[in-house]
Amino acid sequence: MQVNNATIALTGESGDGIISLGEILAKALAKMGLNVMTFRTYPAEVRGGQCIFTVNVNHETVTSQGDRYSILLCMDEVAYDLNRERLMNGGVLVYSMESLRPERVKELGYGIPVKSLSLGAGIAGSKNILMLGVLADLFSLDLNILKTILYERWGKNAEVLQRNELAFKTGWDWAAGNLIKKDGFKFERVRAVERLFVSGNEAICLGAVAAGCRFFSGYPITPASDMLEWFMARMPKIGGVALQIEDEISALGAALGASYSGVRAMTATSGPGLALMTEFVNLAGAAEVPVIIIDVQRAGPSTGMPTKTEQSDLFHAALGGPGESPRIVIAPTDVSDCFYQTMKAFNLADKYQLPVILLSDQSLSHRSEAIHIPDVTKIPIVRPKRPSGGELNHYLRYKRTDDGVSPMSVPGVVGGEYVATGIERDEIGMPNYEPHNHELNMQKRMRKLERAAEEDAELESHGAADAKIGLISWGSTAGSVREAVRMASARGIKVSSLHPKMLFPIPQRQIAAWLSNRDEVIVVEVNQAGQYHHLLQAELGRGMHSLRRATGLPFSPSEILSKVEEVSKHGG
Amino acid sequence: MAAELIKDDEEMDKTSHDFSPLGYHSEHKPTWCPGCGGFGVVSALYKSMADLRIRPESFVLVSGIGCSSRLPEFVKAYGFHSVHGRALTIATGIKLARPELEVMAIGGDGDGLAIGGNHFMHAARRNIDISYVMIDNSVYGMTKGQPSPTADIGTISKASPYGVFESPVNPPALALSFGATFVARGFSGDPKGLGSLIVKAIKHRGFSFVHVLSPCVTFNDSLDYWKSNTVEVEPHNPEDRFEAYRLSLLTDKVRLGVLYQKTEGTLDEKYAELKHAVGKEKTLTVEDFFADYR
Repeated sequence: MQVNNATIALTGESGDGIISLGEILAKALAKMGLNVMTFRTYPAEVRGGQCIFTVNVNHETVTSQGDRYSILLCMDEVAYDLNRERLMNGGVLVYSMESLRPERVKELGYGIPVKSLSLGAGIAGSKNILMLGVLADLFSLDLNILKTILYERWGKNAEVLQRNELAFKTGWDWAAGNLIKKDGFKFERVRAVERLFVSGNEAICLGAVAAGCRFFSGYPITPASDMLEWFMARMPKIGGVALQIEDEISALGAALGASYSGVRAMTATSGPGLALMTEFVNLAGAAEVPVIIIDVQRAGPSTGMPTKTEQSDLFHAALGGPGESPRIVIAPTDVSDCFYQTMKAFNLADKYQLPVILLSDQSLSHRSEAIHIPDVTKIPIVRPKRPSGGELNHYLRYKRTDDGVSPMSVPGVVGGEYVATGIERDEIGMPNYEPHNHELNMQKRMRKLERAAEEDAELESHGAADAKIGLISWGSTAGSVREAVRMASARGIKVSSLHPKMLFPIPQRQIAAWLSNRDEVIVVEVNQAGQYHHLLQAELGRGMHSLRRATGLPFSPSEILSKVEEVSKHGG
Repeated sequence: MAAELIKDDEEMDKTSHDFSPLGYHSEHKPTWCPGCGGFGVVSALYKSMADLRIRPESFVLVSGIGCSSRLPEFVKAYGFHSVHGRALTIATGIKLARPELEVMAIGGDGDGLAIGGNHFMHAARRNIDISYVMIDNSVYGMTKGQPSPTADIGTISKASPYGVFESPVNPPALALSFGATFVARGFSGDPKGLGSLIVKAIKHRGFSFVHVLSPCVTFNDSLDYWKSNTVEVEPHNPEDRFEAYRLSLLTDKVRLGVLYQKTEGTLDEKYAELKHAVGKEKTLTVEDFFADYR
């Protein structure tokens, strides 16, 4: 019997309630004390098209969405045909026997008369919760926890709650009375430290609040819209402001205005929104105004596939825009890291007075994990350098200092009046087109990046320190890479992985030190151009392998393992 | 956030400011062409700031790009000279983050009606308490004479060698349709009259729009035309939006003065009320939000 170890895939037509079912199931497993990671993929339309919600559950750390399904739930025959290939040997199927004829099913499975049961009970709209009842019985989910979650979700509407409770009970009773357990999976409650069950987007929002962010402006865009909704509901409760504004240009403009006036400010968007913000990103670098931009990347180009994932905005974030304007680009590797990297983003922006772009992606934004309760004290807040009383006597807003950072005044400070501007200016802030002045300012603004790479770069490493084969990834791909490192190790291949959190500027010295021990290095990223691969090769001046793929889905660990095996054979 | 700023403030000598119009001149002299309408506008602004005894550290002047968008450089106050067409977005952020500041956006007709037209609509409909002064010379002066959205049909220029085909827009009429709660029109050739409109605009609680007819001496010298083709608006009920709309459209003589003014709840007031309503029991922290996910 496999206890507390499974990858569950819930599949069906969009509109079947797959996502709700998955959210409840994952939350229940997390509350049972298990480590949980979810992954979802669905069409952009509100109804129609197939969606998949996977819940990877383990009693140990989970770093990826899993390779093969141990439990596959299919709401219809289409879902079965699309997903049966990924059911592992020894896996089990749970399906609607009115849509998928049992005689077609070759795998071990349980057919459920979903339609007739729900019609009989008068709960046609709650087939997903009926299935939840079936799963709860089959795999020994905690009944009290599930009841609490149903209440939390629908308690405000007695009628809806009642319907769902009835659906749950119908499924549970039918399964208990009609199914004989033939598979080898079950879940048990374990004692564990208290944790939070949050998505990547939620972790970013929480990190922003912890960092003291009190201004958010945004424009709806998949897959970042729920951050706008999150802040609209909560900012007033913490004395802050959230604003849905007319477009992404104004979203960043308003955030810049708030930050200029001394309040920590942020906006969140996806690739097409970042494209519109580009001129303002460069203004922020030129005018030296801190600001945070969250880019939840999705599959491009252009509209692309809004509900699918990709890591393809790196070039744009790092290098996009008119002229050469400094910015820092960072990427969190998992849900917990979303919290800390967001806190850190605010410090970087304030310390260096420039825009910080945090690159998340669709797969990270909407996957949920049970994480340790974040330690807010881990990242002490750093605010911008302010002018002293003496400096205000003849205030130089853009004073050319050794570290490139000038004291920043804010409205309200007497004697600190200045004009923030994107036009080339002298140290006071007045327009100046002299060649020497421009040259010194270009150096001043870019000097900040050298210092940031040296002082503030964060890099995570896993695997064998003496491994000759290295894997480098950025952002959420870290999870599958770490899993691949473990799988390789189990097959006797030593691999070390490196996950820089600061992508741009490139922490050249630290990466070079790690590289010096490796013979073969593979850069893994979800895009077609190999963007990070190009940046690293250019900066480090050495050849590396590139494992890149743009399918709209994250890498599975076995895809990475195959590449490692290939390189290890050629290398040996 | 604000506490940190006020502390600095108190350490400074607050009495030293010269509250005459001269006290609002920055150390930087305007770089406009001699005779530019901008001079009339900036002197009207100095005078209105003096009349209102505005403290320079509490005033923020935001602009986009264009000849008139250079204006914040010439005023002793905080300023943000941003990118083309986006002044109102930055002004919105400043006002919502720091409602105690006096915030004014200033710029030209190309900046505010072409590239930035969308922000004009939304800032007005939000009725956020900022003033917006649009210096309208119907031409892109900085890029040397292309026609703007207020240029007349048939205007000949290097960029319209066969004449402009499109109809001009009427900025006060637009502001009214967008929901601005204060709409006035002034003339840069009459700094005194313009100054009194700017005073009223600053005092108005809500989005106040001042359209300024102004010559570009180099590319569209309309000074004499406006001198003889404008007239003080006739007395009317300033809260009558239909009448204001009618007056804004008259072209026999273009009407100057306050066309419309009505007090309605402003966005910043609504945000303040909301904060009070939902946050009055206690100010939450991130730990309180953690509880939602336990």
